[in-house]
Amino acid sequence: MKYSKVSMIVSREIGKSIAEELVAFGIRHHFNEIGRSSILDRNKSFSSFFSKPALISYPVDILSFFLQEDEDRAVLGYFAKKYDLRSPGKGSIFSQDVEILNVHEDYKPKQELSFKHNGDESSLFSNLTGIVCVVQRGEGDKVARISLNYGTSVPATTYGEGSGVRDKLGLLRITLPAEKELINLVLSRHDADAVMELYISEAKLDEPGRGIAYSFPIKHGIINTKISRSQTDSAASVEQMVSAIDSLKGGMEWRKSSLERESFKRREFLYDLVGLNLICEEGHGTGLVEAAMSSGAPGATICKIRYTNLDGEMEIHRSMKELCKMIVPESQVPDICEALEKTGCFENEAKALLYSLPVQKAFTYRAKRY
Amino acid sequence: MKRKNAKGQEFKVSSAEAFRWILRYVKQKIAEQLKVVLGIILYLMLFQVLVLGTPIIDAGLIGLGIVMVVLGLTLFLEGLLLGIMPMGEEVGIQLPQKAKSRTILIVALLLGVAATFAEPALGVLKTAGSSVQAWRAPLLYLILNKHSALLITAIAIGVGISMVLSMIRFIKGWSLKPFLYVVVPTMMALSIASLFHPNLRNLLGLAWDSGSVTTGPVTVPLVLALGIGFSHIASQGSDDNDGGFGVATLASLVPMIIVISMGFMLSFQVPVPMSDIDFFSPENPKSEYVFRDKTEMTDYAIANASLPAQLVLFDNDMPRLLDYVREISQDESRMHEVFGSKSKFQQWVYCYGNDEFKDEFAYMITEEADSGKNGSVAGFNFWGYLWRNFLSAIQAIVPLSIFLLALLYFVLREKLRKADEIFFGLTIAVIGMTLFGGGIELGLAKMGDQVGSNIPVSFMEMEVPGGQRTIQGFDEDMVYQSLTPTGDKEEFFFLNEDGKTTTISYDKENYDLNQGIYRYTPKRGPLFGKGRITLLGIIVVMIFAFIMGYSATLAEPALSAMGITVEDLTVGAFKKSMLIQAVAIGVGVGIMLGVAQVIWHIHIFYLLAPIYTLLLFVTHFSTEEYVNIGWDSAAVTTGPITVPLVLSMGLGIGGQVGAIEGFGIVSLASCCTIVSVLSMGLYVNLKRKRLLNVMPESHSDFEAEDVAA
Repeated sequence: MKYSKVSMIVSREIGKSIAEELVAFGIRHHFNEIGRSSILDRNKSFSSFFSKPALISYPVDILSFFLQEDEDRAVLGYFAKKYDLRSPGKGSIFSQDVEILNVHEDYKPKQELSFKHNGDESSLFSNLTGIVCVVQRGEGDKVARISLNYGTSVPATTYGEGSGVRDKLGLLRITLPAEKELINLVLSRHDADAVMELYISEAKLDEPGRGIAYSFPIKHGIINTKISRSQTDSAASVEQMVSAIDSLKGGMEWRKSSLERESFKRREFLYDLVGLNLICEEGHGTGLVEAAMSSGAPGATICKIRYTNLDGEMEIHRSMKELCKMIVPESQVPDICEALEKTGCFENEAKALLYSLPVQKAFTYRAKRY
Repeated sequence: MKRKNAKGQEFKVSSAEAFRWILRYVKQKIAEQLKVVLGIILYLMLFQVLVLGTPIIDAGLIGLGIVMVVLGLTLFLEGLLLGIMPMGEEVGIQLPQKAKSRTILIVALLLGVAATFAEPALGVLKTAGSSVQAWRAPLLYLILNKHSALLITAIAIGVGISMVLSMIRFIKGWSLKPFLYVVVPTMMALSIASLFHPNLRNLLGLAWDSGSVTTGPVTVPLVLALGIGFSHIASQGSDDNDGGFGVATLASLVPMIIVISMGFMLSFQVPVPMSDIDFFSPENPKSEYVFRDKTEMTDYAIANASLPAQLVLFDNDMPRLLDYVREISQDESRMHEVFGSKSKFQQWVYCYGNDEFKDEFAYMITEEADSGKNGSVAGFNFWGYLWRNFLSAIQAIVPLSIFLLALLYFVLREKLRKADEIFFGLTIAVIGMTLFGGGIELGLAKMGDQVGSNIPVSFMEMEVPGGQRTIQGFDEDMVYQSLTPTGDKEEFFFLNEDGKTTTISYDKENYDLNQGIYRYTPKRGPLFGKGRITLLGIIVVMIFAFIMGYSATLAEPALSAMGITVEDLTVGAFKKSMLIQAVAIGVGVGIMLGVAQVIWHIHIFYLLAPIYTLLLFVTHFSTEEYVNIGWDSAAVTTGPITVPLVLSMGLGIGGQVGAIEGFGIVSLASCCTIVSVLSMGLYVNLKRKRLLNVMPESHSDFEAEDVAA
């Protein structure tokens, strides 16, 4: 079943009122992942003579929910207008095509949206790409700086726990840290290759055990371009001007030349991959990932997300869930689905939801085969 | 080592590879702890040697202690993160899913009570109250000694109640603020009422300290993790309740109320504070209630009270008193019971005794020379130390773990995920706690005692601790007279020691004519400024106290565990280092105030009341997130590293300036921590708000759709 997944990355304060509004609209299920966004502090201060501009972090909510395939534009337009997401610094919103592969009956989407359509669909960009980079805990800020330094857009960092070969090591596993940071970025398609390359070289993804980066298509969206805090001497900040020109041109292609073109190394990207996301009750993630791994999934990153749902009587329930993100070869998807089905995770115990999203390309270290 | 990988193929981790991984892991973890422990140790050593100018005694043992502390802390912290906290979280997640609310509340109550008995802070409280005199604070003395089991029970009930309250709070999704608005004013009201009660007044310090001292390095991380797991599932209320925090806060506040109430009930049985002569006189029959029986009372009077007070007990019959003391001196075990040790008895004769005593027990004093010198090293039993600490580590960790695991397996019927990791974690937590408990006793506490007993020298003249000297073959003809500017005469003599001649003031009392021996204790100080008690010296001590509190806090394992948890829950928006810095500064300021309180004899409530009032205001303006974290961090500040250091300093200073007890510093450190974390929170929030509002609110009229059209 094809659906649209809408995600919003907004500051905690706005996130709260959006969450309330989602419920009011009759969106029965939504997820909220906590993250932090970082921007550069370009204020003139004494220390800035000596070092790179400092990063200022603020907590963000990453809200997501599923809609019918064609409903996304209207919803995106509505929220973009309501929360003024087109002004730099307010947040970002985007939608992706997903396919829900299997689901516990609690989730069976039977929601009817009840909101008046008065959105601003024309301000949505449609030539966007998402990039996720998974690195060891503590390396995140280094990666987050990249897109800020190159002025593409504001990243959102979340935490996760790696699960994979490490879990097969017995007690020896505790010597390898499992904690990961995920840097989520949505940016213009034209900048994607450059940023991807910088991710690879900066995070040294071509060395073993460093992490993985992958990109995926975005249907529609608005990105957050407020990349630094600086005193404005002019009527509009640079970010405002850039965003205005983006709107004028109807895209970000004009900015392409501003990105430094480095001579890219020839990287061996991985293709024909699919992102498999499994949402389940807290505590079941590791076991289910193990099942998926036995039929070909290389590993997973498990994140904690908050889940809010409306039951039949429209009462609100909240709980914590685990989101297992896996990048798997397309050919393995049926096998993994079957293996997960066999564990009974779509029954009442784990209440799982499995969906897939297309992945354009991915990069990670691969041992040379002899 | 052969393992199957995902595709069923086998892959190998060679033992060399495995060894390299382990080595890297161990090295990294030890380096982290080494940094913080060395910070505090080097600071204490340098201060003692360079500023106070006193040599370090037992340096070898202290070195051994430090190694043990570093290894122990490393293991313990890892044990917390791998074993104790995941276990707590797992139970927290399963409990609300599988159990009825009644079961949950019973479990919470039991857990709170069990946690208190597992980590009894009685030792700490007793040390803090070791200088309490029965006649000056009868109720306090009673509770610390005869009724100490009752005290622990009261605290345990307080912790149990606060666990229950917290669980209800999580289930209902209530904010922590209203609880604080009720509990803190209640504590204040009780304190104000107690100020007018002669006996309860002295109990206040103990009562305020009792809660924060009890929440130990195992309990706090455990209940924190439990709360986090619990609130994931249970919370039906507001979404911004960041879950899990607040249990430790209530657990450190509520016991105060229970302890004061218990004190009030007991207060009818004991006499009001009075002089020791009145206290021991037969007109005050209530005094006997303070002790177990008449014999204990007499023994206590002999060892601690003045001679007239002792005589009151024997109907002013000196020979009877002498007989009684002689009986004690002839029985080795009785002597230990009354005085603690033989050398203490000799000291007692020397300090308290009048001429009759000195004549009577002169033979004991002559043995002094051979027993005093090498006492500490000879009687030292390393394995004894370790064994005792092992037992208390087992007591702190094992029963609680068994309780939680039994709950998980038999009541909730769930199996433990990652069981191997958790059991490994629990094992190294026990080993770690053993090592660092022993190491603290051997190294850190010794260091603290030495600095603590020497530190008053910086602002006042005091006798060098343990520096008693005797001069053989003293000749009174060598005593000269000198004049002060006001014309008073003072006597002194010259002493040639190590080729240097010094003048020493002469006191006839110290001259033992029969044996031709003169006893004296050299005096030093004040090192800074001139006068009886110098302000400059006090400032030096306060700065010392601040830095000591600050650097000791950096090494606290429970704080480290909490910092990691907070960073995790806020996805790095609230950095571990930021929390630890804020807490450390708060503790430093609190201990500084505590020193001022001891030196100037300020009643603890006059310092706590304004700070807590301020706190209520700051709490009102802070966001829920920071209120939870800030109030909880107060509970972790007072851990195994800070408390012994603070106490030995407080007692060292208190002993010289004649303070009644060493209570209160710990609670000051706690509440200053909350102030500091909350202010940091306000500052950070302000900064963020400004950051997010840099953009003008009204969007420009330049609308994209117009252009597109």
